[in-house]
Amino acid sequence: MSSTGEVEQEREPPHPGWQPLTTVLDTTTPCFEKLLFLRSFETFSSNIYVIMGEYVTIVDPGNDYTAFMDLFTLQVRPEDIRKVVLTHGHPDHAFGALELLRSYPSLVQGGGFELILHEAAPPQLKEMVKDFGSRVTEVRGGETLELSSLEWEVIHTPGHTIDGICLYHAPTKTVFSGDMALPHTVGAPDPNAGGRLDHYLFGLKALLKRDIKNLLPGHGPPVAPGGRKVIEETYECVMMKIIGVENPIPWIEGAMALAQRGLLEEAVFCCDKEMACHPEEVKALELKALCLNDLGRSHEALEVLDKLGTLRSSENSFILIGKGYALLGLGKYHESINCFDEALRIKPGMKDGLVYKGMALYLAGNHEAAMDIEQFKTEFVGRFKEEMLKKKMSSNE
Amino acid sequence: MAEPRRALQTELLEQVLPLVLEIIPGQAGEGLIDLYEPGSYEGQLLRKLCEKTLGKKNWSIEEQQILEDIYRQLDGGRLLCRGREIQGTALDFALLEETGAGEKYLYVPIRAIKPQEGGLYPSKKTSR
Repeated sequence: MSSTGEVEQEREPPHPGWQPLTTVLDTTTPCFEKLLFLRSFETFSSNIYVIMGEYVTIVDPGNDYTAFMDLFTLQVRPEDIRKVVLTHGHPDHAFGALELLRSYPSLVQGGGFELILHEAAPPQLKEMVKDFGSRVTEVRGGETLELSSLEWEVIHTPGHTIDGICLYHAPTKTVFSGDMALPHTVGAPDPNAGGRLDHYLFGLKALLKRDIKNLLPGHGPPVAPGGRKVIEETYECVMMKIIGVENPIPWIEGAMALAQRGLLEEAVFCCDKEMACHPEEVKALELKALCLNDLGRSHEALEVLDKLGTLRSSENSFILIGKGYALLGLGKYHESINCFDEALRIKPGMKDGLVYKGMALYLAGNHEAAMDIEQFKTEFVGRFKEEMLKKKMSSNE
Repeated sequence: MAEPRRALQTELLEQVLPLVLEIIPGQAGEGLIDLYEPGSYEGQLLRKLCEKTLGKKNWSIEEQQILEDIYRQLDGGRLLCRGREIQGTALDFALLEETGAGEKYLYVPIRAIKPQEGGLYPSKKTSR
C-alpha cells in the first residue's frame, strides 16, 4: 500500500485456476486423472493438490479457504473432504486445514476430516484441528497411507523443517515433495521449525533411493518426467551450502571438501558426477574407492579399484592397499593379506600396509603373527588404551 | 459468516443485490466488512473497490484495528481471492449469500496476505 492508499499490485498473467494434473503434466496416466492441482500464488501460499475418489483427500491445503471456492462450484462438496495430509507444518501449507473447518460448517457437521501429519508438527495446530472435532493421525515415516484409494508411502524428510514428509506412489513413480525438493529453487532450512542442512541431506538421500519420475512440489510447477533431476539438483545445492561454496566448482573439488567433512556418501555422489564428465579421472576414482571402503561398501570399492587398475600402467600400492582393505571388509582375510604383502613389496615399510596386514592376521586368528608387526601392535595397543579410557570416563560420568 | 455457496455468474448478473466486501488480514477469523449498494459497484474493478474501502475513514475502533492488520499484511503483501490476484470485477469473484432473514446479497472475501513460506535459497547452483 502506498501513502496515498493506492494498492500496489503488478499485473500477472491470468491464473489457470484448478487444473487436472493430466493437463498440467500433459500425460494420460490414469492415476493423474484423479488429481487436481491449484498452483500457489508466488510465495503467498503453497500448491494445493486434491485426490478425487470415493472421498476427497487434500495434500497441503494452502492457507486460504477462498482458494477452494472454485473447487466447490465443481463436483466437490466441503463434506466430501475426508483426509488432509500436510507435508509440513509451515502456515502456507497447513493453515488451510483450519480455514476449511472454520469456513465450512457442513464439513464440521459431517465429522470433519482426518488430518495426517508428522508427529513433530506444531502441537498447537493439532490441538486446533481437534477442537473442531477432526481426528489427527501422526506419522513418523515408513507408513503406507490409503488416500482416496491410492497407496502412498510416507517418507520422513527433515531438513527444511523437522516435521517434513514426502508421499511416494511407487506404481506411477510419483512423489508429493512439499518444500523438500522444488523446481528452480531450494527451500532454506527454517531453524524455528527444526530445519537443518545436515538433516536435509538425510531427507534427500531417502528420496533418491526411490525410483522417482514425477515430482509434485509444494511450490512451482509439477515436474514430469524430470522429477529425479530436481531432487539431485537440490541435493547438489545443499551439499554446496554445507561446504560454504557459492559459485560452481569442479565436482572433484566438491568431493574432496565433502570427504574432509566426513560426508562420504555425498563425496561419492560428486565423484560419480566428475566421472560422468571425465570417465578416466583417476583422482575421482581413488577418492571414490577410499570413501566406499570407509562406508563399508566393499564390493563397490573393489569394482572401482579394478577399473583404476586398468588405467594404471604399473602395479600400484594404493590399489593393492584399497583392495586388501575391501577384502578385509568382506572377511576374505587371506586374500587381503596377499594384497598387503604385494603392496609392501612395492613400498617396503609402508605404515598403512603393515597396520592393515596386522589387522587381517589378527582377524584371521593369527594373533601372534599380528603382534609381531610393531606398527600394528603400537596402533592396536594405542586404540585399546583409548577405548578403555573412554569406557572409564563414561562410567565415572 | 454463512457458508460460501456456489454461484452462477448469470444468476448473479440478473439480480440487483448489495455487495458485501470482506478484507481478511492474514489468517484472521474476521475481516473488515464494507457494503456497496446496487448501482455503486457494477462494472468496477474489484481492486478499485478494495482501494476505496481501505481509503475510507469512518471506521469504529475495532474496525481500525483490523485495518491496521490489513496494512501490516500489505506491507510486502498482496490482495488475493480464490488463490490468485483480484484481477477483474467484483462479480467475477462474488458468491450469492443469504442473511438469516432470507435477504440475498453478494459476498466477496479478499485475503490480505504477506509472503508466507519458510524461505528459499535464491537459486540452484551446482558443481561443475
